[in-house]
Amino acid sequence: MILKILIVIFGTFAISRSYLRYKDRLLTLFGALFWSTFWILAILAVMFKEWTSTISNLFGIGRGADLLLFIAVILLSYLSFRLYVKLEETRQDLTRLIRALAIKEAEEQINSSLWGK
Amino acid sequence: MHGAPPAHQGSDVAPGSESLGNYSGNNDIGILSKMTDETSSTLLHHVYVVVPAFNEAAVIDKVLEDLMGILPARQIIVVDDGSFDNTGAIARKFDVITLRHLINRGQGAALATGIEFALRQGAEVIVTFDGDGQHRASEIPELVQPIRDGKADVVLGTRFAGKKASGIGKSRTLVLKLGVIFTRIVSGIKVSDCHNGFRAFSRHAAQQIRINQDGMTHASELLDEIVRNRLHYIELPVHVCYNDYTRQKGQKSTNAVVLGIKFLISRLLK
Repeated sequence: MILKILIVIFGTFAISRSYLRYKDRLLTLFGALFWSTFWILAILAVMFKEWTSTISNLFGIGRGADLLLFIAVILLSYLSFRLYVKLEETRQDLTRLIRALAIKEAEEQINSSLWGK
Repeated sequence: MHGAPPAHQGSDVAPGSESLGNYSGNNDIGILSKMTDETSSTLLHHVYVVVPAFNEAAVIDKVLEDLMGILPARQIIVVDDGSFDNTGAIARKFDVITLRHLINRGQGAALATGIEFALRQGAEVIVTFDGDGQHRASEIPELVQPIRDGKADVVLGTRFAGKKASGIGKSRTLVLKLGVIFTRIVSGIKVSDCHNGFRAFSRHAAQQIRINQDGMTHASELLDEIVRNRLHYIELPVHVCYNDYTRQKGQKSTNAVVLGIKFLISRLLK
């Protein structure tokens, strides 16, 4: 009961925040809609528990809560993968930058010592 | 050129007295030939040696003296990979080319930086050489010769054929042998030493090979690249000196599993 109330309150808050951030142009339309949809579904899920059970039965999973957990795990795995790729890209960018600096510095030194002769 | 090459441990074998085993796949049997002074001077024109170094202040001077007995200073490229000891300063005293990574990126990254620089200088052959004193500069001409002769695009030094690695421990040998099997399965290339920093590349090979792995997995990536670009490679026996310093600085044998996994993951993301 308490959980229902908390989630409804927090969800409403999150949705209004999305809308405000979108108006401030800090969030894209896609981002705002995505986040709002997520919370609308969360609110519906706690308010109409039977609904989640019906859907989860379609997937062949027992409880609605299990389905939500399953979906959450998949989403988190995907997010982790995306983060890892992003980190890897950043690492490579950093190395390329360091490399360019090293080569630039050395070539400048060589050129200046040539002119110095 | 000054300084005598430092005394090395391990059995001393005169070059030219060895014949190599037969390696299957893309390999040739390499025959070592005696160098005359005349041939060696043209042999080493536009040959650059890349020495990646991270905190090697204790030995970099000996390494450079060894190298300068074979090559002019302007053909030696030291890549100071963000050392926080005197490595860079000592290298600069020798008048060799010194590149400096502001932040440590790893041996793979240092090699790639040195190779790119060498190509920009017009290198025809690029030799990679460890900065910790494990390798012998006197063997550089042997590595370069097959490339000059057009017999190979890449020459890989190996410590497991002919010349024995002096002072290598049993566990290290075991790990490296397992690495060979791993490499055979994963990369589809047959080598007898999958992790030897003493190598030579033709200009063409160096231009084709892309090293994206910054750390120690670059060695496996390199072998992948040889296969991907269908480069002609041979192996040559080289001396590898183990002592307390190199053992302490080198990879722990137990780290090999971690490196293997890291390499497999990096392949997935390619």
